[in-house]
Amino acid sequence: MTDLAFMTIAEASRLIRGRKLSPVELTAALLARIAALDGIYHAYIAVTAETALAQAKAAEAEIAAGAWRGPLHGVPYALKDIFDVAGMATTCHSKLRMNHRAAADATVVTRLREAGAVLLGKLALHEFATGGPTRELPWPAALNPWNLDLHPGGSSSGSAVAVATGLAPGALGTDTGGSVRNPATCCGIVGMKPTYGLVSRAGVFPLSFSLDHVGPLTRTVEDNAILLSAIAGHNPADRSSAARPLADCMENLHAGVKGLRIGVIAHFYTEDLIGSPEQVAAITAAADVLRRLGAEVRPVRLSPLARWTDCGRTIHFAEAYAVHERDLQQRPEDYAEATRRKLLPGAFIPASDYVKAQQLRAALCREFAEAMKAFDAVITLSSLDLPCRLDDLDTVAKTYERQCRMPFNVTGTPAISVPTGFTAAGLPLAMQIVGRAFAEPMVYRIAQAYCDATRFGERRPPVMRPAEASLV
Amino acid sequence: MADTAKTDSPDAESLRRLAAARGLGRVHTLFPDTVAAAFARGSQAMSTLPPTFPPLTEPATTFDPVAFDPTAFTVPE
Repeated sequence: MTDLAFMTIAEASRLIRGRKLSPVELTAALLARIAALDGIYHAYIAVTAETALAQAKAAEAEIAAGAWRGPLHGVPYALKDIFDVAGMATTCHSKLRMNHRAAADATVVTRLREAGAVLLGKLALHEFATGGPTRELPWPAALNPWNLDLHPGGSSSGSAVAVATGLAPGALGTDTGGSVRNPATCCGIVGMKPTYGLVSRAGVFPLSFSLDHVGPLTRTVEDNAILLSAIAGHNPADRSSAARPLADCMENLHAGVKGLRIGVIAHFYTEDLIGSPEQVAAITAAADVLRRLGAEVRPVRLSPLARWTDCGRTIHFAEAYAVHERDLQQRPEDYAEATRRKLLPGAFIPASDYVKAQQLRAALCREFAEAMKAFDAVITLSSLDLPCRLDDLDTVAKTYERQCRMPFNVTGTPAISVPTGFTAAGLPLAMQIVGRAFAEPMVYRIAQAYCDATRFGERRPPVMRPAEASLV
Repeated sequence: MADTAKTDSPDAESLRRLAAARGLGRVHTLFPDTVAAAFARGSQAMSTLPPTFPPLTEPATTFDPVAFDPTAFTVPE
């Protein structure tokens, strides 16, 4: 049996269903690991140990009685602290929300509760899913498990750190301009931003309503598909929820890529901006792997990266400011400086720019859909740079300008970050695989074939000690 | 938005008045540099529209009144 800390959701599920693994044993092992190690990584804001053990015991009893609910029954998970859980604070990692209490569960929490999953706790993030890692906040920033001095990516930083360090087998995050994929990239795990509207955002604190997505972070592609399958689906009470079910992501997961047409959007990182040589070399090698596996891999050209990011950022700024306007006017000192810097530009976006950005978005979505007629999926980089020092907030902010993730928040199409190797210094590298709207099964299929062939996601970060980092 | 700052940035007093007009007087008093940086960033025009982009004919968003009242356009028998 695999070490419980790094057991996949799929393996845990099989063992739990076969009554060869107790959900209580698995949950208790993870809670003990959190107690032992989270003082180093700061992935968790709140650990729900009692509730978790109660849920695990209930799951065990149900399964013993023959009432297995599905692949997440008795399987632990954790939540970015931006999802409502009835009776708990949804802090958004902010002083402004310390006294909040959620009246009801977010839709995804309800779905996971109904699936029998076990909530371990709530995870660190950049303040309101937009600020940055800073000591100004009531809880410490999560640390990169591959090097504690470096940024773990954000904003779903705790989600990625918990999964990468074996403090949760899977977690949920949110992604407005890359906030699931960026930490997945920096921490060497798998992070999926599904199609806009596929997962209900009811009960999730908003950042930018037309760009926000909920997505899973896991150590394997299969686990990611399992978690997404549990949370996807129409919610009539959420007007942004798509009235369309998720197609079966497991049926063709292992079908391989032979004969598939995969485009490479290389100009994003070789012309529009210049990516780090190690990131570029890794995605070039990844394209060769896909070719060797039988895919037809060729370049595709879209509008320049800046056009996509201009469009997305303008919408993001305007909509996020609308969410936070009153608090910024009345209690600006309660936000961290990094968060004020991210939110206040929205006060000065001309209304005409917001309208033009929405117009441009429609044109870009058509452009992408037209380009995708010739492809089953496309690949491009996730981050252009390697993680920088956590305490260098100016450079951290610049990494959010140098990424290829925002285009797919603009299109609303599914995009997954998968590991493509490691730098000479041992830091994870990654690429995105992007599909057509609602083509999650194809994205997962390609990701699975690539990860099976390369196995980069199987490397685990070393267990760090605080003395090994200058920032702890 | 372009990476270059707009050249016609307002002077400090103009920026203070602008911030106050948006209800941001308090934040400007406490964090004037942050507000100045936010103005520079937010007011940068979108600079990379495609040359063939038709902003006058491209609808921004679809507004569908029926979405709010599905019975509105019910055709009588």
